[in-house]
Amino acid sequence: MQEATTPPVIGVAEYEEWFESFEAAARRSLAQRLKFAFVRTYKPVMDDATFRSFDTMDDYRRFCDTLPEWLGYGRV
Amino acid sequence: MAGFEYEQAQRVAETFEKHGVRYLLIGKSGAIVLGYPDTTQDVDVYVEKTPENGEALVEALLELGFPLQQREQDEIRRGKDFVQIRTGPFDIDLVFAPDGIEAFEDAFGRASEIEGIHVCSIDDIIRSKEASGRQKDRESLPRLRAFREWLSTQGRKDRSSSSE
Repeated sequence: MQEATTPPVIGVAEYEEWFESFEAAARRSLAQRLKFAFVRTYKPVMDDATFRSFDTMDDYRRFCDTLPEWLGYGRV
Repeated sequence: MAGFEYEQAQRVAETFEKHGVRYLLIGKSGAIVLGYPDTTQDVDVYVEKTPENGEALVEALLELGFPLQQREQDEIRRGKDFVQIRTGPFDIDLVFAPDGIEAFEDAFGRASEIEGIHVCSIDDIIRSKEASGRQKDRESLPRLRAFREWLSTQGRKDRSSSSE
């Protein structure tokens, strides 16, 4: 079984599908792209404070390491 | 809370311009403005870390409707590396020192302006995600690199059509 930290291997078909999605996106206006791109989803812990600030990016990364692992914010 | 739509993006660009905020969209939101098809929930803004820019940024955010408390305003002015705000008209992350990018001025020189919005280059967006070491960034990198490759073919197409 592939470990979660292993970068995925990309197949030709998937690559072609991505290129098609890029072509399709290029045919949309910026207004359309933004309309469908920003989707509000609640992220536990991360979204439970209205304001957070960190003196350094290291402090921020350490905070991210405390978030639920499945959110994907932790360092590999 | 509303999403981040075109009118809002334009208003941000205009308000930042009015207050002289030096900024670049970065992260997935920046890539989306460049044409990358994906979803995200917050706007990541790379802001130049200077006292003048911090002051301008606070004024601009207040005008945009972010209800910043005095303490929060002071923290932004003081120059943190990362600030996350979830009380405004849209979710915003202010990044003053993104991983993988040495200097704002250099990133600004490589950036694009799309419909008035300043956006990091795709190289810088990828570089910052490579340097962050986060699981979610690592997973998004293959598709972002493919997008960079696709963008470069568009540049070649543009050059060949303009030389015809």
